[in-house]
Amino acid sequence: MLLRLSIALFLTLTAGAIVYWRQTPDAEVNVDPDPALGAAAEDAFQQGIAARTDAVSAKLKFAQAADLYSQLIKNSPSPSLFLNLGNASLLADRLPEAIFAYQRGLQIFPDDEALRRHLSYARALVAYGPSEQGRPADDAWPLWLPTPRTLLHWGVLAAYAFGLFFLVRTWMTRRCKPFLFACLSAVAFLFLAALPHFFVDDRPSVVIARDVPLRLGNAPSYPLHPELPLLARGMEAHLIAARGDWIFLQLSTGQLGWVPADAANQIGAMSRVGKPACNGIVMARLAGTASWN
Amino acid sequence: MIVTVVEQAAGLLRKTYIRRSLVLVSLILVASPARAQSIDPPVTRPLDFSDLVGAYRIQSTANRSEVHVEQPVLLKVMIQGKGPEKYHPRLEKLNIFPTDAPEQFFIEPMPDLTRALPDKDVWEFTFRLRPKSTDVTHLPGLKLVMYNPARRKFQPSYADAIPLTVIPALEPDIKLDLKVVQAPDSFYEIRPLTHPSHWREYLTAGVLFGMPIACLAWYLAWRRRHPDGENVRARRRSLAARTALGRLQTAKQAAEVSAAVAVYLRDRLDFPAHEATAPEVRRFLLRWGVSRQCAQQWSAFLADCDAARFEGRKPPLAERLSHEAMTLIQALEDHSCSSV
Repeated sequence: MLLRLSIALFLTLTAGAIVYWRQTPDAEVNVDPDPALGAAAEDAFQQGIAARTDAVSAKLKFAQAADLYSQLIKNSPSPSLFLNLGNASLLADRLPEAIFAYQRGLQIFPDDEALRRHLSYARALVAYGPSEQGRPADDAWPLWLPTPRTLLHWGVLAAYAFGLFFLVRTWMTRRCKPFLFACLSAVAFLFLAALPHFFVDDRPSVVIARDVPLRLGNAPSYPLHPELPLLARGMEAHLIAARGDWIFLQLSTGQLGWVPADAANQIGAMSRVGKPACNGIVMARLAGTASWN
Repeated sequence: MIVTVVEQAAGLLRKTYIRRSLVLVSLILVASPARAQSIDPPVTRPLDFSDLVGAYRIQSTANRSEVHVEQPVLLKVMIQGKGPEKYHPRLEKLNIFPTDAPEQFFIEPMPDLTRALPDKDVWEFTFRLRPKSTDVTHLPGLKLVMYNPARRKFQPSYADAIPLTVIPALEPDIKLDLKVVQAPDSFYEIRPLTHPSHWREYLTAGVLFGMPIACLAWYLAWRRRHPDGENVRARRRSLAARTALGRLQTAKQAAEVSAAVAVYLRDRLDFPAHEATAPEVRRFLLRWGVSRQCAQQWSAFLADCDAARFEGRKPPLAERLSHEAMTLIQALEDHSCSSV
């Protein structure tokens, strides 16, 4: 009986491991970046740096570098590429794209210190109102410490390893005590693996691409939001729903409202332990292959 | 007083109807001057009334005859005339534009350009009009509605519409934002495009998929190294056997060996007698289901113990007995496990 139960537990743990792996960013396909494209992007970036005093040509070069980095990221996401893309976008005065690049990088590589630092700087450049409505909370987590997502990930792996260890001990000794520990470890593994699905906000995020009025309805005839009538470029919000050419947003300070979809063309999943949890429309929009309708 | 005089005169006439007529006429004469002196307009007024009392006329001029869409035209309105000071023309009271004018123009009054010359009976007001589309062909005609107390009626005065040519709006003059983006030096550094370290992925994959394989390998290796591990575990399950084996390892005399065996049989198999004699143990084991050969070995062993105890043999004999007792106990445990 004990042997059968332990075998069933072993199969449960293995199945849970497969499901968990499918959700982790580690399952993403990583391909080496195209060296020619990478060299062209770096060259454009260097030319932008060389032309720092000439605003027009510097912006053009940085924008060119940002476009090249965007192409590279499609096939081989890496923290370096996201950082370079964000820097090039910010120096090209494309603040919303910069914030979006840093955010996407942190989704996959949450412990990258430079990405977190640069995202904080880019957020400080957004023109929030005097009351600072819509400003996301500052990242108070220490830069040197692994993020909660990472700690949770290691906790899941540890519980899984302990479960397997005690199962083997159960087979060796045929005693109930190791089996009890194995059961506890398995419960801990399943609980920790499922925890993000209950407590982590996985709604797609929106970065406002241009200054746009926030309305109470999905048409220009609706009145402006009484607390936050205008969303500045670079502001971040959660996507709640889409209807026609309008999207329904919620800002981090709680305001709800509608903006035209073309004013928020930077979409992505905000935070999840696993893969970016975007729906099909959002991902297609991100890839530029579909409209909102 | 007039009425009294008239009544007295009528009394002289001594005709009632003449007297009443004269009283009525006198009342009309008394009331008429009072009504003629009121300058306030009646309560019921036209919607476009400009709160103006007196006799006035209106004229308008424009500073331009051709404008782009949404470009301004200054419309100067001049009102000339006389009236009581209380009802002189005022900008905030003027209601001179037709009702459809806001559909064609953005209309803004300009109080800073208002000129009032009451001593010359002239008032000038200025409005800034911006046409909304190229469909507009005229600046609107104006209508000034006033109240004339002399004629006791509302009278309008008109200003003709002014032709206006509206041409399409100019393209907005967009200037490039030449602001140089300021950022810390770290934003100007390129991080090398080396492939990211895969240690995290390898570790995750190793734990998730390597661990079950490693555990199975570990268990198989353990089984290979301990082929009778289960038997050992089954033998050790019996506390009585472990205790007896421990006592037998330290036994120096045949009496101690015999006592340890008796305790084992009593604790392990519920042997009822306090002293284990060979015939009793043989019968008990046979009843318990042990093979006849094993029971015979136990019987022979206990007979040897009795002989050693009562004949006082040397310790080497005790060691042999204790080794023999351990072998018998293990054989009995194996039998009990296999029977279970």
